[in-house]
Amino acid sequence: MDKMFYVKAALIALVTLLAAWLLVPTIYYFKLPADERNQPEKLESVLPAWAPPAKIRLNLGLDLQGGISLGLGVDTDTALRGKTTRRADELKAFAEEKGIEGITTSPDLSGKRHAVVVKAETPAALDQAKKVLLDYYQDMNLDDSDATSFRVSFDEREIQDARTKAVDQALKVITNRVDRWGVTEPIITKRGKDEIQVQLPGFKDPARAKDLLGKTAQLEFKIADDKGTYFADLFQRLLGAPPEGVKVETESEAGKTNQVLVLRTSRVSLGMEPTTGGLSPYLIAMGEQGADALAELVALSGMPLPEGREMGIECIPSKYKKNSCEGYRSYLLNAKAELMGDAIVDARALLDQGQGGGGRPYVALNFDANGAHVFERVTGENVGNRMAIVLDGTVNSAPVIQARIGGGRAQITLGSNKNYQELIQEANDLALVLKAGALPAPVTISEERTVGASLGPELIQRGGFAVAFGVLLVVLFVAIYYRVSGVIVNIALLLNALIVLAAMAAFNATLTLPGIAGFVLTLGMAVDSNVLINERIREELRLGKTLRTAIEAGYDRVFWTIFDSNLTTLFAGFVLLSYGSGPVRGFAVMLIVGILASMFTALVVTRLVFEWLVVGRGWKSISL
Amino acid sequence: MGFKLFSGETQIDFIGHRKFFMSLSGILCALVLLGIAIFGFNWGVDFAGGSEIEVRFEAPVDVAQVRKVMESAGFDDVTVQELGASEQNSFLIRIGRISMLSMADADKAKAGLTEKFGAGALASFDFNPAYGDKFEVRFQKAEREIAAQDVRETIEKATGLTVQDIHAVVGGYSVIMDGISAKVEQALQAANKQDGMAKAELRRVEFVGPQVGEQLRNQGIMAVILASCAILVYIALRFETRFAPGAIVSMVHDIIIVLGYFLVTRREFNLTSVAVLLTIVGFSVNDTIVIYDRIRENAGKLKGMNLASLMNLSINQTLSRTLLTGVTTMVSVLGLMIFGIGQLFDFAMAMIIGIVVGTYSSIYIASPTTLFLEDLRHDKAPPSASSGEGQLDDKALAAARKAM
Repeated sequence: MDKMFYVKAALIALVTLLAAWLLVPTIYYFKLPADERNQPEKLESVLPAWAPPAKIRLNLGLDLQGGISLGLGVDTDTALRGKTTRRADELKAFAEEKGIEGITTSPDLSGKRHAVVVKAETPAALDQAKKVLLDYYQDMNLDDSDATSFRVSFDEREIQDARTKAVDQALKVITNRVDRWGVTEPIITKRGKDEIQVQLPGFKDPARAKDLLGKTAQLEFKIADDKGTYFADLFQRLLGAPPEGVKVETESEAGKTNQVLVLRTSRVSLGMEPTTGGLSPYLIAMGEQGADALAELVALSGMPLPEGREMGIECIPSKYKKNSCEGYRSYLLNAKAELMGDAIVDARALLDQGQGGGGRPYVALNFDANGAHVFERVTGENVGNRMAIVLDGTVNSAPVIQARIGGGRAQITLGSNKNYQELIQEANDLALVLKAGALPAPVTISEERTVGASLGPELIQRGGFAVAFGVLLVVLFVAIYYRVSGVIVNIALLLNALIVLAAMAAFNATLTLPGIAGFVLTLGMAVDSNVLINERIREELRLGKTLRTAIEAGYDRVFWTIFDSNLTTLFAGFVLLSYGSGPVRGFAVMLIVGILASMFTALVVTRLVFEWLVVGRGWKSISL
Repeated sequence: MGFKLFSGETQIDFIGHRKFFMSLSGILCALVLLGIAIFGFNWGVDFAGGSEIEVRFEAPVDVAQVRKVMESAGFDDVTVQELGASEQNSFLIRIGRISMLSMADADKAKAGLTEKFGAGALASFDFNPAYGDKFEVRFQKAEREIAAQDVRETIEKATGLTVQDIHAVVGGYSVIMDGISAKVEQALQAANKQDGMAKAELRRVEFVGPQVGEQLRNQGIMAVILASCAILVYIALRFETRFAPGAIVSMVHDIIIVLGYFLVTRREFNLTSVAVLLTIVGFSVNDTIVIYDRIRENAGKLKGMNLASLMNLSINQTLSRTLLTGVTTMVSVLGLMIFGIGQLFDFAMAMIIGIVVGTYSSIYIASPTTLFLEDLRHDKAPPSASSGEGQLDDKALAAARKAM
């Protein structure tokens, strides 16, 4: 046996062990009761220390575990129409600011156009307006003009950009809402150009989900009451007499001991932050269910919020998981909204290029005439206070008002204890939120799939039977047909199955019903490579070759055949992957992974076993 | 030694019978295409849009009975299909529309509200069929004290439908009406109480808007075409260009025959069916490539042998492999057919048909087509040795055996 043999054997052993190891979290995942499978911390708590991280596992698709999947179409046309209409007002205002008199503007939304028609009373004013406006608004082009008017329209790039932003906003709004429901492991993804897919495993009420997701974003500006001691009083009262279900625990950190209220999975503590009015108390609830815990504590305490105040809740984003909160903090807000999102004309993230700005990102806001007026008054009255930006009832940020802000233009500078990338990201997010109030792109529900909880387990069981039956038949058939070499093929086949599942787990792929079908199908197709090889070896033997040379010739000659024929199926798999949605993608992934794994097991694993038998053990014949 | 399908090498004259099989396949495909043109497919909600509800009854129920209940509940465009063979008492109910609320219902609700609270009370009334069974009603500032219960009762009275949920939004209420699934559930419950029909459970509900359906259908067609093109380009590059048409024809043939399954059985054609078609495309070409590969290999060794004999020899040499692969793949999905439900059953059934047809076509259609086209070309040009009648040429074969 040459050296390469041992290297290969070691490689195969390594792959096998690795595959088995990767499947450990999946096995524990399936062992959990169905209703606990979506709680990552449950899985983490039962996983042995040597196992891979809990997120490396196969997930059950919605079709197998029950839940709701919604396809939401974002109506980007409406957002664009809104943008065009607002731009028409802006153009007029800008022209007047530049001292051009007698300009009227109107949006032209006929057909698929997003244009503004500008009219002037005198030819001189028209020429001047044309020059000034086109000079300033680089994102608009001149379409046509006559003696009394001209028409400008957004250029194609700007339109595409606006559409993309509308979808991003909708995505942000939806993520924001879903986060508040306490649905575990929601999956919210963009699909295609203007669609969003929301998957809510275990969620049972489609009407409620549709209602919450379908409504237009609601953005409010509210003043925070930083002097209020409500949260401190509430916390003391709860510590003194914890209601049923709430435990008081003591934890120490950096030499200090803190008392904590524990409500189910949430740990609530009292925080103090320095504001202009002194130390302002707030509650902080760690855990994914923190938002609910805060609301529940207020209800349990029997201590109503002060008159005219309400609790605002802000998500503390998780460092480890995207679009997820590791906890929530509270704000004491004036219940009255000072300003609504429809007062915002535009919001964008910009970099401060001015002196000493150092390229710091900030968010620039424009208000409409009425909004500007209100904003000036409110900021004037509340210098030093914080203004909470509340989207759909969740506080998104609460900047301190530095000075009275007039002119309808405001800037929000972001906190500094973050790195540059994070700041830019935050500025973009905030601009999206603000714009969501300004340019709402309505979403329509284009697709809804609800799977009852009773169907999933049955499908898993039946799918399991079907796979076991199919695999058993294939294994039996191969063993009977090829005898000893059939056993070799079967070893490769089972290893193939192991690798496929492990690879799927490593990608954190989702197991769907068509995926199960794909799995058993790829196993059937995987035999093909071995059939090709074995048939070829038979042929070579018929030509009178020795077993050893026949095996070598067999493998060498069919390599390209196997390569060519598998590649075509791979093509089909990749096309399916890019086309399909949900369950069908699961099938495509199975197909692709299955083909790759089968090439490895057929060309490397079975060959090695043959070599071992013929060269190592000196076999002169093998039943083929 | 293990079993063998054939002792030694077969010498079946596949190419010689090509005219018969090509005509047979041609006629069959023409019939399927004609059938599709006349009857169309039984499109699933994925493609046609609409609602689909999977229901299971506790005891045996007749398809006609289920349809009757649905029709009496006011669904006139309903189709009821029994699920796969193994699943007992389960049905797929398909309804053309996606929401219970029609524009007329919304108008009725609006009129009712105006009548009850006065003409000037309503600030806005939003209804969009795409949102499903819900509308939002907002009142003028002075009227914001109107209670949810009043709104609910007014709407229920005006429309004759049931309000499922009503809750406050800024300036008014969001009203969710009972949707299709609620209506179906009620109808089934009523049938259970009054006519003693078995108890039913709604297991899966799907709604797909008509636009999405159309989009998915177009994308599905594009996907099949795209995959086919990619495969053909690959064949043309790896083999000779003249081999590509044979692969195209056999692939299209397989697709059409599998479509024939959906046409004849009236089983639902949905996203999973597209997955089957694409897999069949891959499988069919896979088989064809193995044979082409062998033709290429033999052509290198046996210079001077005419194409027909070369093809016959290659098909015979790979015959046991072709059949074996077909059998193992078929056997693997057999479990799905026996234990599978609904879409899995159709997946398995269509796949098995595809495998049989794919195996057949790679033997009887792919190479013969290439030969046929070669013949056509050479009929115009002076005759050459590279093509000929498909009789196995004894001399050439003897030479072949020596050469290997």
